[in-house]
Amino acid sequence: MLNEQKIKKMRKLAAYESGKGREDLSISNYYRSDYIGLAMIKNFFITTIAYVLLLAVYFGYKSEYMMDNLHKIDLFSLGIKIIIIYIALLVAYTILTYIYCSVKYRSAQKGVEEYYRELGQLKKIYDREEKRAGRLTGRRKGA
Amino acid sequence: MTALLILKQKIKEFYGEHDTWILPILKFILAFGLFKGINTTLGFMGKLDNIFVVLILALLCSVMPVNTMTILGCVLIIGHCYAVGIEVAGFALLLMILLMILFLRFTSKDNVALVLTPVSFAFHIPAAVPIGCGLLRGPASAVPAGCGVILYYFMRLVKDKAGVLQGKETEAVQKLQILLDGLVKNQEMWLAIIAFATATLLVYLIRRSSFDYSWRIAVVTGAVVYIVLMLFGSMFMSISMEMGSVIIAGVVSALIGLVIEFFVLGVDYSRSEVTQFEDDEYVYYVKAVPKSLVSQTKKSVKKFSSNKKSDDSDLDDLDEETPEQDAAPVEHVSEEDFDFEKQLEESLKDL
Repeated sequence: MLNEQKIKKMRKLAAYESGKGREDLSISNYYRSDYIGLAMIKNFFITTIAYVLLLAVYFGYKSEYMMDNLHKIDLFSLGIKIIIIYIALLVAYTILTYIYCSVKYRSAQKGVEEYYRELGQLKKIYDREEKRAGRLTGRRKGA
Repeated sequence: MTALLILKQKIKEFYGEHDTWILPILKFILAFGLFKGINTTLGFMGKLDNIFVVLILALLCSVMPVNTMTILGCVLIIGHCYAVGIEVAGFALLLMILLMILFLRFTSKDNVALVLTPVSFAFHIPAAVPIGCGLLRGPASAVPAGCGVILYYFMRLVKDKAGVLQGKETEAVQKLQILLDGLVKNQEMWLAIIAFATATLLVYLIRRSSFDYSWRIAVVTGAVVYIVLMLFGSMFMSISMEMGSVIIAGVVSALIGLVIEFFVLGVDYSRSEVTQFEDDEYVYYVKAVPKSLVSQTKKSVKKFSSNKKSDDSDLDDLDEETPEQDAAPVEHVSEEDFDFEKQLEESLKDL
């Protein structure tokens, strides 16, 4: 006979595995510090690329002015400005990434904990069914 | 109202039964609207501005995740920009990469708002996006919606300045300046972004509140704030804007918001109950609002045939069939022909 409770649990677990669970399970493979650390490293490179692109657009936009007034521009202070803005951008995005990844990791952990709890319950249902089947057929475990 | 609730329940049941094909169809319609909108706005590349290309892309999107729509939409925009000039395509690519890196990577689940924004602008109901985002998603969805506004105004800019951008005497640096000035100094765009973000946040904050009719109040507030911001902003920034179209857009968007509220929430505040109780650690203030549900009665239809003759013949058939069906494998002998005495004598002889 079909066990409705078991089927419901299996459906729920399968839906989680193929949906949100896929990402959650991959995140939960990491330790929290590793996951956030890796995201920080990625963020460093991505933010640097974005800043370089922004600088390229800015200098492209101002290229005519810069060519005409190159001798008047204080290149040292310009360089300092560029570095300060870069550091500010990097710090802002690092904080943002830290918060984002922490929240994501916590949510993934919650999801995975719930998933394992449900798996445990499913296992219990299977064990119970196995016992019942053994009692009916007169077989014993290990026989 | 009861008829509407029954209709809602029927639609929900229908969706529950047939969601395997309804969802792809909805995605197909959205993708078709988006790609058609991009082609109508830009449409510089003849190969892409083709109904078959749009249909194929929309068909692809109907079976793929929603983010595919975003990527294909961006590719389509870049393709049309390439037909205007390689510098324009480069700028479009750069803009999208920057939007992706700086904003969209944190809101991957809400990026459907990025797609919906240009579509809503095409239908002249832009306020529907912040209202919908505030109702169905969180405040973070204001980010992709804002990026969608930037993309829409970029497309409009390319369309408006296509003549200059296609001109061979215009240098690459000048093209870059035209595009950058057109975006950064576009006050209408910034105003729309501010209105989108404010409306989304307000709608979200109000609909999360526990007072009665919070969703409806959130929808109306979102629409009013959008209209007020756009109108007063355009006055102060001296932007030419059609007052009537902004108000109509706000009103239509509010109606769309009310439809969303009806389908997603649908509660009956007149039967709400407030209770208070406590345990050792907390005092609980609980407000329970029942959902508006209508119990549908299942109608069973019995058919009575007026043709008596056919009924009789049916019964005759049954009478004829019954002995055959229930007959036991014994010899059938009529009572009149059966001689009980003779039979008794024979059985006594055997004894």
